[in-house]
Amino acid sequence: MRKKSQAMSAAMFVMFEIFLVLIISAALYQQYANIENKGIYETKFISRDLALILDAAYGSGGNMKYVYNPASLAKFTYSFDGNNVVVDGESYPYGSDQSVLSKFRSFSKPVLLFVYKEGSSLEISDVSREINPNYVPCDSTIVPEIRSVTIDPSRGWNAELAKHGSLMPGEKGFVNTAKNWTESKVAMDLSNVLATRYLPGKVSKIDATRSVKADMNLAMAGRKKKIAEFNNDALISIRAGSSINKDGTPNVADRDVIAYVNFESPAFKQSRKLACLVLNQMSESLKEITGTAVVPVLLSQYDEDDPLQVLSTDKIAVQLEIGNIQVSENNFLVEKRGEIASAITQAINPK
Amino acid sequence: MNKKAIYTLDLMIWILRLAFVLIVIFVVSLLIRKHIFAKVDVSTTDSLLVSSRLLRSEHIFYTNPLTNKIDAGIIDWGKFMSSDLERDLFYAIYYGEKNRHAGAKLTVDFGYFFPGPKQDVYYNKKFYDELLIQKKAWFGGRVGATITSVPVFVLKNGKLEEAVFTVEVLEYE
Repeated sequence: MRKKSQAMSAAMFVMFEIFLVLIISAALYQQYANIENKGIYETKFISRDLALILDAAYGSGGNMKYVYNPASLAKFTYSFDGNNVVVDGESYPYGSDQSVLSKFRSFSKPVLLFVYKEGSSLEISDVSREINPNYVPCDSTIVPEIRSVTIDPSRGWNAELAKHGSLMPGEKGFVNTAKNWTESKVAMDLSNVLATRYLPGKVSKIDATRSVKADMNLAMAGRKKKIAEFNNDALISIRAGSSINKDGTPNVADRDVIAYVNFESPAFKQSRKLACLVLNQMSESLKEITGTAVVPVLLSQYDEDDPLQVLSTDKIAVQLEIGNIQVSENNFLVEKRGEIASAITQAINPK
Repeated sequence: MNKKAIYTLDLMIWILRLAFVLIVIFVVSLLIRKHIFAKVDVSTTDSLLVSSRLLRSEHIFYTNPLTNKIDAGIIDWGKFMSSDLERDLFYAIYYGEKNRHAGAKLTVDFGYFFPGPKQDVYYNKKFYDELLIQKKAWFGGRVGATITSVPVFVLKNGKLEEAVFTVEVLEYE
């Protein structure tokens, strides 16, 4: 009787154990099924992955476009709150650079995400676009304050004086003989658009070193004297670029914009910042531009009558060498003066 | 042995068996959890990125005034000794006002090749010190360290001196 009772108890206990194991196994299975269904692993993975990508993008010195497309991207919602990448509630921190403008927003089930680093801005978007390869990183700590501007249309050519045999009619600068375009005229036309249509209302005072309505010459000494007399906050000097191949044909692949600034000027950093802003505005609105560069110059190494000598001022000063006058078809230098003037104005006063 | 004693002995054996079964289930569950549960540890990569950013920081290295490019091989001693450096680094790698993510010690060692002094500065010093204490304690397994050393020149009073620059980043694993 006792043996039977013991066997019965043992059997009951084994059954209880089996029951316990089954219950716990079912609970474990349910838990792991939940992990899989809710994508807990994937949200953890993506939040960390995306945060590390942002860390790398903030640390990168150049421009970049990164296409982010993990397999399960479209299953979740994404936000970037308080320096955290949040993927369906799962968050992981990223180290932002406070001098970089971060353009982040929320996304719900995006098909792809794109990370764009251009100069001093970082953007996450679900829309693909071409990155501006000519974007120049600007010094975010400097904000040039410009309330008055001197426009310098660079070289001038007085046709009347030349006709009457004057020995000093000025200079035409670079010439496109096929189209009869001269640098002096092109720079003057652009200066005219800038001075009469775009800058008014954006700055309180606008002056020009020579007429912007009629092509006339003024020697370097005269231009420098006027710049000093006007005593404006900034000088924008405009020139046309020129590039030809060895065989004399136009080098149509070269449509760069170069911004020269005086390295020895006390306003060098502000000038470099303005140059940077102008180039970024121009390369943003004019896709024809093939390259941009800010070039600091030591004026002591140039002739006294070199066009760069207008930069010998202690105010903010930038000389822009724009495009390639030798390009005869679809030349933005001639055909898109409004866009160029608008970009310069935006850089001077973005409001 | 009387009936009551036998019953008590059986009960004790069952309790022991039950406890053993529960321990086995618990251990199996833990082992499965360890292998399946969604733990994604990226602390090493994360520390390397912080370290890499510090090793190219414009707040530490010489910036060519002509080109505005950073020369990551030359430490600008004026910048390195600036009282603003820790604040500048904090905002250059910004994890929020209460940074509980990473801390680092940056050391310029002039005595690496020849006898000479060392100079330390910190990124997020408060958190670095906190992690360092935990790392040194017996339970310090949760704190991970990434140490990177590079030979550099230090621009000091217009002259270049040889040194070794070491960045030690601490983070929770």
